[in-house]
Amino acid sequence: MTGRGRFRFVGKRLLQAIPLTLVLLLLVFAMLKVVPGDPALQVAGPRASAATLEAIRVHLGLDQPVWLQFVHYLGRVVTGDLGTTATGSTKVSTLIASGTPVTLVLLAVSTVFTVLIAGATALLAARRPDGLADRLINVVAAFGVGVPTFWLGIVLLAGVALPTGAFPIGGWGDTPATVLRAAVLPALALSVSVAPVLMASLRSGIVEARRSEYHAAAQAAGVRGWTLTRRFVLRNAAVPPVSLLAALTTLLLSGAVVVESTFGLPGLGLSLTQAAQNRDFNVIQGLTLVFSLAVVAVNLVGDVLVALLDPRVEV
Amino acid sequence: MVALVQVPGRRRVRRGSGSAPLLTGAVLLALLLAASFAAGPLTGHDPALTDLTARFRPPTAEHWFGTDQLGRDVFARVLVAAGTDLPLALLGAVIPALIGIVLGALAGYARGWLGTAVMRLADLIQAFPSYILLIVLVFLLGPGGGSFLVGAAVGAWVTYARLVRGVVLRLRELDYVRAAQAAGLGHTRVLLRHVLPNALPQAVVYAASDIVLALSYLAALSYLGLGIQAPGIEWGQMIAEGQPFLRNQWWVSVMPGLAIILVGVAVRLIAGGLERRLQR
Repeated sequence: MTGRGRFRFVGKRLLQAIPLTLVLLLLVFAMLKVVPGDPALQVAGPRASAATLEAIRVHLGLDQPVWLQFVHYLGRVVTGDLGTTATGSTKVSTLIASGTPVTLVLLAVSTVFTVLIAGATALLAARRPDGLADRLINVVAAFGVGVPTFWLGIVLLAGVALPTGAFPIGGWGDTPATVLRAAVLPALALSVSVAPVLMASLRSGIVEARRSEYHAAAQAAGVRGWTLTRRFVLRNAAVPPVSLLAALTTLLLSGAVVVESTFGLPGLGLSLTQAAQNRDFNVIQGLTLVFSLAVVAVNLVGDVLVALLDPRVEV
Repeated sequence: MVALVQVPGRRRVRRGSGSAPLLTGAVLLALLLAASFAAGPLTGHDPALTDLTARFRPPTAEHWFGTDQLGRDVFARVLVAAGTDLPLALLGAVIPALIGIVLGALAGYARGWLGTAVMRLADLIQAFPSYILLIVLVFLLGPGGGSFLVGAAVGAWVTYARLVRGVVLRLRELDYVRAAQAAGLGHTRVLLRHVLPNALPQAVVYAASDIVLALSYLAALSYLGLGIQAPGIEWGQMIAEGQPFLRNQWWVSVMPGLAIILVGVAVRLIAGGLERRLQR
């Protein structure tokens, strides 16, 4: 793909994301219409008179046509006004701003672990396809997918954090060092369930690269050892997994929601589960919006990366 | 919901009837389900009996999995919970499979706007992190087993729809399907009798392994307090109940997870066996 073609691809892909974002906004807005119970009744309490209820409906804009309500909702979203929590004490946008870095750090550390675990096991498995190590890794990976992430987190808490005292039993840190320490065990629990997916893809990529002509040519030219692995095997084996990037990030994000509760990490996922437990509508709606936009962005970045790395992708 | 793009453990299909793993897995699940109805007599402990004099007993010959904060036998409770987890996990895989097979067949056979609409919807759902979708749906519907089933159905039909649509798109151009159409058979008959049977085996294998996924969704939801509520007993809920006592009484939380892993192994065996049988 030429430089200009790439530019056009990225532009086209950006434009495609706009209608998708609007549909998602509409769906998130529509949650209010689906949730059981009258919003005005929830604000006013069960003993409110009909007149009070009507006044609250007008105040909330619920007497206006639905499309106008949606336009107003869009306006509020653009200005970052997502309402307050059910207790009224905190703005939802503040909650999101404080949770986002926690979830992002957790995702970053998990990604590093996932790549390390998957890379090491894939190299080991691909050394002799169908050999003992390959079969063993395959079996462990197959059963590893069925181990619940939150349970693994609990086993790590009981088996590592409590006996050694090297990691916090839950919660977050306030310096880079304590933050990293707090993220290690949850990230480990998270990556164990995601690594098998990446491992399978990497392994077949490595096996294929080893069978290729350029690999044989490099070998014949005297390239040996780690240089051969790095330059001629890994670099080519890494292309197919790049197309998995968006899917893997989504898997990690999904798992993070649960694992944040296990370890009490004050991220977006913990806010989501707590809001679902307390039936806090504004928080759920705001977080759903953030997660939706994140998913659109992740898929956009994933597609662009594939296009940049793989010249075969059509513009 | 993100499907595991390439499920590990699936790449090599060895020769053989597949009966041995299929039978082993099925017997394991059947035994577990049967034990859930006879948990009291089997363990010698009433799973619901609280005995505050016997709190937090570690695993022994008397209490295989120890006792919990109310002195209840954890092993008996793990067995009883199988009666909740196994049927719900099974339904959580079967319902989306049925919906996905129907929608996928329609999308592949009818094409046109219907097919496009179904596949766009599938894209949208597939891009969304599964736990977030589940939690939001359960929030909208209220916690419980029924909400879990709706959430699983909304999220998991996508994989089946894609799979079946792919096969149907390929088959509908083949001569024998064209011949059936030319012979004047109705669309329903062609679809049901001539196209769908060829798309089903793959979907069945996937549904079998999907039970593990459904179980982990159910357990996670209950763990987060959004699934099965007390007095119902469920493995994820048991794990959550035991977590505050992790420091000195690890077994209350850890033991129920072993049951989830056992089901995972059994289901993997069944799926592997089915795959071998159907590919012969």
